[in-house]
Amino acid sequence: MSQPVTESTDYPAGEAALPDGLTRRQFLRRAGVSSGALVIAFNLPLGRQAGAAEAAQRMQPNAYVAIDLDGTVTLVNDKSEIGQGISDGYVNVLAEEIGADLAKVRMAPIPTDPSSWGSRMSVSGSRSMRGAWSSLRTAGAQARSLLVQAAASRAGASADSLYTEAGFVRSRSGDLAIPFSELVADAALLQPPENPTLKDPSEFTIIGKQDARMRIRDQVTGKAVYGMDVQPEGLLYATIERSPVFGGSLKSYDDSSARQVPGFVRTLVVEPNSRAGVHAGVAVVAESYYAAAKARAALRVQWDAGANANLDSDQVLEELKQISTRPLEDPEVHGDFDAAYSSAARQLDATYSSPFLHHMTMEPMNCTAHVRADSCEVWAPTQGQGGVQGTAASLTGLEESSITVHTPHIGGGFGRRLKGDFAYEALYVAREFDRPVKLIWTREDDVRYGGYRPMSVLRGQAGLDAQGRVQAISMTLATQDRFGAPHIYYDVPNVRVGKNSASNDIPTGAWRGIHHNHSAFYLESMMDELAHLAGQDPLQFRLNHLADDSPYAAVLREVADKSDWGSPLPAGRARGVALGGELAGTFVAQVVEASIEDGKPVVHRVVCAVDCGIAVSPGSVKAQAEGSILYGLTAALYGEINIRNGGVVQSNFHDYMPLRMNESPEIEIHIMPSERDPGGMGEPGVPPLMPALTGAIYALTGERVRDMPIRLNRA
Amino acid sequence: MATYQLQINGESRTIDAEPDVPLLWVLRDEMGLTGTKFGCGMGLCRSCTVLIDGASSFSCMLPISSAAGKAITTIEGLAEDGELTPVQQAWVELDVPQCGYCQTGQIMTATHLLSDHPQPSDAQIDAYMSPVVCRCGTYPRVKAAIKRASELFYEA
Repeated sequence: MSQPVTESTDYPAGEAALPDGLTRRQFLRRAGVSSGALVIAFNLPLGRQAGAAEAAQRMQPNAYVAIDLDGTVTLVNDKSEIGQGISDGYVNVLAEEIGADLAKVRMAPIPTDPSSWGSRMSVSGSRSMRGAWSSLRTAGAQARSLLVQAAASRAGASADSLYTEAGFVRSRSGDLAIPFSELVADAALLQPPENPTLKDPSEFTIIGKQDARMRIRDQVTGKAVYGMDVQPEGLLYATIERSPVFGGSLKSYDDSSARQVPGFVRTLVVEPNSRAGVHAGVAVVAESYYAAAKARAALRVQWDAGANANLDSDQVLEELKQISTRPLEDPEVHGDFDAAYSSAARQLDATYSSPFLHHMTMEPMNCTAHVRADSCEVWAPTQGQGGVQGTAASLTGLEESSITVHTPHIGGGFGRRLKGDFAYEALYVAREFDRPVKLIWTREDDVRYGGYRPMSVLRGQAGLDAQGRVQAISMTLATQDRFGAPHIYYDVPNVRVGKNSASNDIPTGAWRGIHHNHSAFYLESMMDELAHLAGQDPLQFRLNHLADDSPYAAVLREVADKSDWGSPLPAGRARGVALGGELAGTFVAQVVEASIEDGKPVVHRVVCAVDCGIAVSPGSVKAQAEGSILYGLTAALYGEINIRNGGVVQSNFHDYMPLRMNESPEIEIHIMPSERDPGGMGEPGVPPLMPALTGAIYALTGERVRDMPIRLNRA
Repeated sequence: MATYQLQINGESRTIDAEPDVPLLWVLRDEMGLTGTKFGCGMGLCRSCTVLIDGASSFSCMLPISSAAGKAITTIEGLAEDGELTPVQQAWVELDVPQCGYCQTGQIMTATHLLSDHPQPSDAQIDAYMSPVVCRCGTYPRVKAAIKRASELFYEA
């Protein structure tokens, strides 16, 4: 992302380098663990690999499992909860390997010192479980082994005759049951084995079977504290009026009316910082949020629009269409596309497009900061704590070790909270005050100053032979997207794919599923069109182009079975099917059942087959798949950010429409059994939805939707 | 500035505020009742839902002057002495929330729905719940939890 990131190369080595000179014991005490607990220090691979410095510290401990004297198991780690349920997954893995009572496993608060913590803290890319799986299991198995050893010496039994279950070490003969609490003191004195024996998946009683539900109770009683809810003593409130044009600058402003608002404190200019994604603005600070908002409304500001005064997404679309017809800059080539295409029995030549999209998290961006002479505290609902700490250091001139980053509950991320712009702004303003300042973005700010999923256009060409097999595919993607090019997972002998890059000043960012979304829409739409050109069933046609033992074929067969693909439907309904490209080690296929009512698509049912390897926490896997389907459906039906005169047209939920309860289809998630290591689940459920829905619309009406969002009878 | 008497979660509170301040910001910033969420400021998402005389109402556009004297229940006022209401119990049982930010609106609106229609039809659920926006996609579980809460009412 574009926020400034301070690379720390001075990583902790052992106890001396822990935050604020803490010893490990003191550090763990802060996490709520008492001295005398059995502690396993281990390494969770970093969220993102970013160079040699991080590679060098891959083996440093950055996570701890502690079993306390009362038998409570605590995991200290850096992955924040943004609604994806990662805490449930981690707790499941640990409880399983240790043989702990699931109800007695807790997550310590997210550490507040990202740099000392020894990893660049972030949560993204559906990688939290993939990265942690084997480290967590090993740490859990080490703890189990020590508890078993302690029990063996106490009872004079052989370790082989003992096992753990629900917080007890038991003997297989059934005559021994010692609670962990009685063994911790002895076990803590033993040396953990380097290569402990992991449980065989056939012995799992928690992984894949139970759900920990770590956070629900606070969420249903209003007690969970989100970034928006942080209220340190002496709090001031800030809101920022920003340039209506991307890249615009401040000419002048008059705050004489704003000053009349009771509670007004002061205004200050926010200088733009393109690297940090921060726009020119005027901040208004007041004693209450409402006073700040009222004073902001009373500002009179003159802006210099600058170079982007006429920037328009319709023009961007036209430009991308042009670019999509040019030869590929750096194509990936297999076989000879041109020869195979020109000799094809039937040809497809089509252009598709996808608009800019906003994340629209339910909690608007916000951040609270308190900058003191020698220290700084930040409360940041962020997916990237490491970046926030670096930003704070560069804005305040303080050492990273003097900066505390608290991670409150987070009201949705979807990629938006990887950008650090809101934290930069909060720190920028808070530097001017000796009191804490909470910056709140209005919903309008949130919509207009996002990091948008980039617009893209795809020129797709493909050729079928006389038997209806695809002999050639070419995909030319035109976009400013920095993420990947299309990838063809079907067996096609002659392929030419790649990306032609565009650029403009519209701010972009990672959006749940990143380029997999438009890639799946384009490739799966082409396959659907080709199936119809070949006169074949769209699902069977896809299977014809996949190896029988491919995981893609497996999820397709599963979704065909579970959706009764091919069985009759009520009049006016049809099905569509699509895959998504492998994402985070996970494969997904969906079948959408839709009708058209009042000229608009209505989705009745979505059947989804998921192969995510071992589904650690099946409830979370299903929740993520359900959420991804509705996220994709929202984008398919409504998602579109337009730029006119250099700024975003949309502003709130009335013109950037969310899906609502009455539009929410029946959803069935089918998780495939697997012994493969876990894949990610935050994103892979999103990409198949759009092409599956447009496939259903084609089956129903004969109208091929090639442009998102779906508008029927566009021509 | 004016002085208002508010009945919040069964307690009488005296608040000095500008007459046009929305109830939402009084609850959050003056009373520390932050369970009621700011989502859109225009009554479009309903994250700010409270019960006013038993009816679900969005607090982000309701001036404090209009809320005075009425019985206001926030999410913090549902569970008594730590005992969850059937709606909250059903939410926990079916693992409804993901990020959780909209769930105040979902739970308060569902509470109103079930007091009007203890055994709601799908159409009634849609009618009451569709104004309440969730971006994590918890609608299927919200719907199932409302039906479960309805059962729990009758079991109780």
